[in-house]
Amino acid sequence: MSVLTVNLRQFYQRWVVLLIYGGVILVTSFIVAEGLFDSRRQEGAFAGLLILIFPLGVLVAIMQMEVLSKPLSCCLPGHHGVLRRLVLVIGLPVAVLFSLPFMGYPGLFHTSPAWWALVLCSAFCANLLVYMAGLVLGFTMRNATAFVAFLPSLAVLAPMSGVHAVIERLIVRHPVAVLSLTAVTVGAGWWWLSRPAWFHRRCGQYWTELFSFWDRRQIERHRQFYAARRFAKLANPAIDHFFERAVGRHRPSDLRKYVLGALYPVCIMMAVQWKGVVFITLLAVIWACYSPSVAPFVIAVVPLMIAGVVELPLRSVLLVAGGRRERFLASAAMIVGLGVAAMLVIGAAVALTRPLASLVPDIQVKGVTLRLQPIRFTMVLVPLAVLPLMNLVRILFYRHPVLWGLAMMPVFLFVFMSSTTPLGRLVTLTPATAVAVIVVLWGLCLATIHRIAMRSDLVRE
Amino acid sequence: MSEISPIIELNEVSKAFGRTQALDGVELAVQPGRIIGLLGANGAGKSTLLRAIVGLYLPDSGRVTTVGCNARDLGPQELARIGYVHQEGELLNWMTVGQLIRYVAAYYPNWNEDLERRYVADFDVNRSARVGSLSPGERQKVAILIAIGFEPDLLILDEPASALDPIARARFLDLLLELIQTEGHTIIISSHILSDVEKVIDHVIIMDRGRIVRDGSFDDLREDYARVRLTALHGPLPATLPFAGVLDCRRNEAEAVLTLRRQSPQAIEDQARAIDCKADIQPLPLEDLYRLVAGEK
Repeated sequence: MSVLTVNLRQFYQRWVVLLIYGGVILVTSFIVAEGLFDSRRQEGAFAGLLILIFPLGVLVAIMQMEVLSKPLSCCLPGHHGVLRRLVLVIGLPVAVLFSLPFMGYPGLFHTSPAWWALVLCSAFCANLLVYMAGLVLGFTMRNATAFVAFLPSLAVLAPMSGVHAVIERLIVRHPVAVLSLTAVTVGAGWWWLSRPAWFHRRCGQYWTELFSFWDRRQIERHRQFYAARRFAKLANPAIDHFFERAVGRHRPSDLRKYVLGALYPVCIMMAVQWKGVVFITLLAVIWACYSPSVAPFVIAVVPLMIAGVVELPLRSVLLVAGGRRERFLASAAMIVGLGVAAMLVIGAAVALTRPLASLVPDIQVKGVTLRLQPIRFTMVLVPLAVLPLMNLVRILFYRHPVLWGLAMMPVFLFVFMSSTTPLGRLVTLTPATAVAVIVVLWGLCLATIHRIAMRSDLVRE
Repeated sequence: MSEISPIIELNEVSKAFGRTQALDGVELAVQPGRIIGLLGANGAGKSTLLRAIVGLYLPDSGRVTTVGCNARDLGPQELARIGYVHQEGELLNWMTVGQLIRYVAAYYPNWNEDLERRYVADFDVNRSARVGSLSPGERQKVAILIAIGFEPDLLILDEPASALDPIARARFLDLLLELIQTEGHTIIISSHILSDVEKVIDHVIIMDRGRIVRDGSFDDLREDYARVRLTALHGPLPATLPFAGVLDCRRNEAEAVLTLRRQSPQAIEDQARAIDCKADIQPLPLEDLYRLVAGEK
C-alpha cells in the first residue's frame, strides 16, 4: 500500500470526518436545491459551491497536520513528497466537480465556445484558489482544528457578505486574470509545500486533533496548554498573593476558603483572556445595538463565553481539603457569582448604549441606514438564563465536550428563530414567564450539581 | 487495652463500570501505621479501590470508612489527614510549580514549610517552571510534594514513581522511610515497580479482577515461599528430590534451584541433608512472590 493510499484512508475511516461530510452534503443539497427551484437567478448562485471547497481545504490541511505534527513525521519515508500529491488528488477532482455548474451559465455558450471553455477553466481555477486558501489557513493557523467549529457559519456569512457574487463576476468577466493568479499561486504553493524546513517546523509541534473534541481530558490538556503559554507572558503576582492570603486566612471549616480557592483559577484564566472577553462583549453589544431583533441571541454569547472559561471545582481530581459538601457549595457559589458578574458586564454595556444612542450618528451601508439603538434593560436577564443552562449541559456531558455545542445548538437556534422570524410571536415571553424559566433553570442546575456532588462519582473515565 | 480502630475499612464493597466489575465484594481493614503495597495486574481494580477510599468514587454497594468517616462524607477535617497522589497526575498546568505549591498549601493549616523546602532542594524541583511544561517525572515529584507537604496520617500513592528516574526514585523511597519512622503514618503504595516497593512495605494486598486475593504481612508472604539452591556435596543430585510443595525446579547434575511453598527452613535443611546436599535458602523478591500468588489464583 502506497503512502498516498494510507494518507487517504483517514478521510473515510474516522467517524468525525463522516459527520463533517454529512454536514457538507446537507449544505450542498440546500445550495443545489435553491439553484434548481429558485427561478429568480441571483448573482453569485453559480459560485455557491465555491464556499464549500474552502472548508475542504481546511480539513485536508488539519488532517495532514495531525500526521506532520507527530515527532516521528520527519522520519516517515517519502511523506514529504506525498503531501503535495495528496493535496492535489483531493483538490483537483473536487474543483472540477464544483466548476461544473458554470457549464449552464446563462448566455455564455452563445458568446463563443472558446470563451465558454475559458470561463469553465476560470471556474476550476477559482475553486482551486479557494481550496488553497483553506489549505493555507489550516497549515498556518496555530489551532486550526478549533476553527472547524466555525466553518458551518461560512454557509451563512459568505452569502451575506456577497463574496460569492464578486467571485462569480471575476470568473465570468476576467477569466484570464483568474487563470494567471492561479498559475502563480499554485506555483508558490508547490514551492511552499516542498521545503524541508517547512516540515521540520511542523514536526513535533503541539497540535489539537479532530478526535480530541470527544475527549474531555484532551480538551482540558489543550486548554491548559494554551492558557499556560499565554499566562507565561501575562503572569500577575498580585492575583496570586491575594488568593494565597485569602484562602489561607480562612479556617478549613469555613466555606469561603473553598469558594475563594475555586475562584482563583477562574480569575487567573480571566486575567489571561480578558482582552478576548472584552472584545467579544463589545462586538456583541454593537451588533445588538444595530440589530435589536437579534439582541438576545448575540448577548447570550457573552455568558456562554464566560462559562466556557470557568471550570467548576465539582470534579477536580486535585484532592485539596474540601469534601463533597464544599465542592457543591463552591460550585454553586461560583455559578451564582458568574451570573452576577455577567449581569454587571452586560448591564454596564446596556447602560452605555443609552447615551451613545443619541451621540452616534446613523451610518449608511449600501443604501441601508444603520441606526444605533439602546439595548433593552431586560437583556441583563439573558445571562441568568444562559449560565445555568450552559453549566447544566457541561455537567451532564462532562466527558464529551463536543456534545456541549451540539446540545446548546437547538437552544440557540430556538432563540435565533424566535428573535428573527415570525415564530417569535408565538413564544412571546412575559416578565413572569421569563422569571419562571430562569428560576426553573437555576433550580435544575443547582439540583444537578447537588446530586453529582453528593451522590455520584467525582472522577469519571 | 482498647483495640485500635482501622484507618481504612471496606465492607463488601462493589463497584462496576458498565459491564466491568472493578471491585467485587472487597473486604479490607487497614490498621494505622502500616505501609501497604497494593499489587495487581492492569485493570485489577487498584486505582478504583484507592479512589473509593478517598471518596472520589462511590461504591455501588457496601461501605467504605476512611479515617473513621464514611468515605462519601469526608469533610475538610478528614481530608486534611489524607494525602493522595493519583495515577493521571492531573495538576493545574498553567500555574508555576511555586504557585501550585502555595495554592495547595493554603488549604492545609498544618502545611510543613520545612519539609517543603527540603523536598524542593532534594528533588531539584524548579519552582519557577510552568507545571504544563514539566516532564512526567517532574510532574510526579510535584504531585508527591503536594500530597506529603501537610504530613498526612494516611498517604495514598497510586503509581507514584512510574516516571521518576532511578535517583529520584531512591530519594523518594528515602523520603517514605523517613515518613514511616514518624509513628502513626499509614501509607498505601500501588506500583508496578515492585523492587522499590518491597524496600518499604510491611504489608501486601494483591488484587485480581476486583477481588483481594491476598491480604497479609509481607513477612508472612515471604515465609510462605522460599527459593532453595541445592548443591550436591558428593556426586550427582538424586533423580527425585524429596521436597513437598515444589512450584518450580531448574536443575542440572550437581545443582538445583527450587521454588517451594510453605516449607520451614528447618525441614528444608533436614531434607537436603538426607540426600547429601547443601541447601541455601533465599527469600523471594516481591516480584516473584507476586507472580506466584497471582499465578496460583
